[in-house]
Amino acid sequence: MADPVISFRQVSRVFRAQRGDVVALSDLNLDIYEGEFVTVVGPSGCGKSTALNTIVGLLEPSTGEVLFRGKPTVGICHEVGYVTQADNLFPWRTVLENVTFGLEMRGIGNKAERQERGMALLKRVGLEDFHSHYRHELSGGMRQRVNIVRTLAYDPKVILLDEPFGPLDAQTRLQLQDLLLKLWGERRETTLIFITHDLTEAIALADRVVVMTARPGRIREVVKVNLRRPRDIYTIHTDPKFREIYDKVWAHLADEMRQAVA
Amino acid sequence: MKPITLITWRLAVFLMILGAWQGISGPIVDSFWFSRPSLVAEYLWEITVSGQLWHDLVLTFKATAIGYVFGAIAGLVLGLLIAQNESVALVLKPFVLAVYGIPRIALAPIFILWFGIALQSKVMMAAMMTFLLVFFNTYEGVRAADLDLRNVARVLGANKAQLFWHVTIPNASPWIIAGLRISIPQALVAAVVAEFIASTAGLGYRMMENTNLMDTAGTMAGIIVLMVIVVLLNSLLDHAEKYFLRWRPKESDTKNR
Repeated sequence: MADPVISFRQVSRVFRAQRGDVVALSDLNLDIYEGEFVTVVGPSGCGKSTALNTIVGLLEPSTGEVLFRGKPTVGICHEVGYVTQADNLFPWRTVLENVTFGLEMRGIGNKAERQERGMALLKRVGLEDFHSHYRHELSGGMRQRVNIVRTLAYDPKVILLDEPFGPLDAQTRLQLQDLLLKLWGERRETTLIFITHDLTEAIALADRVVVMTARPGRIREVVKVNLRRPRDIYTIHTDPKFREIYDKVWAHLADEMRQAVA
Repeated sequence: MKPITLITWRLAVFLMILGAWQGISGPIVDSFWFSRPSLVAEYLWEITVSGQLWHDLVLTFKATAIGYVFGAIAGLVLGLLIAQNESVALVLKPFVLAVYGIPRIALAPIFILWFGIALQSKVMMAAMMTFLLVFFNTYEGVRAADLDLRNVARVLGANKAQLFWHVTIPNASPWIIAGLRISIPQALVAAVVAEFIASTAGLGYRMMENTNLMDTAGTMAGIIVLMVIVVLLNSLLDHAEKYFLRWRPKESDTKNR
């Protein structure tokens, strides 16, 4: 295999708190390769989000290092996009202005070009008619589509997604999973790292599922998902192979969950 | 309620108040102290025709406007600068709160002492009032920054200056606009109060003069003129605020989501 895009090398992260330190991550080692779709599952509070924050540069590891194409990252890594679970569209910008934000900040293209690109992306996710709407005028599913497209707009090599579909209803989730796979299919060199609580989602989307341990978070198991692509997100869970992988991942996860409260 | 019904009802209430005043003042209470709408109207007509009202209005308005502009600029700039810097903000916090706690009208006499009885002291009163309100609101607005949105903007590629213009400022804009808005009537009040204390013309001076002459119609007329100005300014500001904050959800929207 080629060189990894993202590598964790013995990464730990300790949060100082008044009642003693909290170790969020401990000795994390992982290589993620170009064009891979990796999902991460684990008990709540196991440091999944912390791990993503160290990739993008919002947090520094306490020890160890995170490498981007073999080089340690300093500050915010501009090759990485980040779609978070919170409702993070800029409320004072219209949908289109949100989508073009990254291009505008990076000084890519002139205004007309940025808008053209933004509109094309919005059209791709069926929101071209909503380009002048504000955040509060959109449903949860629409907001998250805008959120994804805002990150796609500047073509980051790696996209991190932190429970992006968490608060959505089951049907909308499926639709967005389907859309995400299709968008990724159109830019297969892009690497996706996706945190979720939903095992079905984790397996349906991923090439590899990373199961983390309870806090302090480290990797318990990495499960390969050899289901062929393109996948039909609406029926994939009926595949016997899917069930097999599901049971395997679930066994690991259930064990960790038991320990987390024991 | 239909707009036309609403306006009709409001008009009815307005006329009832005027009617009650006119009816009570005279037979029940002494109209020497309370005046009557008819007397006030007569007085207002007189000073409008003579040009005195216009003359006073212009003076008071000038003091208010000049003071407001300087106070607003100073409040905005200082508010942004101080709130931006974590340690400066921390050191100055109790002082900011203390200054905010001063009953600001109480500063009028000393301002007259410092700046004289001419226009300057009125301008300074209006400026001080505006400054404090705008400063405090701006400061609070910047301090209330949404950390998640800042991080999103950083990841999307915003540098420090871009963070300031594209996140900090719009994020604080509801506070800043509220400050700019509430300080307009307050600046007017400050200028009028300074005129009460010592001056030779202006709306506040005229009200004081009439009161000293026991001309209650004149005093009431002054109150009514001030009321009308503030109501007009407020409705103007309402529209401006709606335009600038059109991205914000209305109360009724959020309830349904």
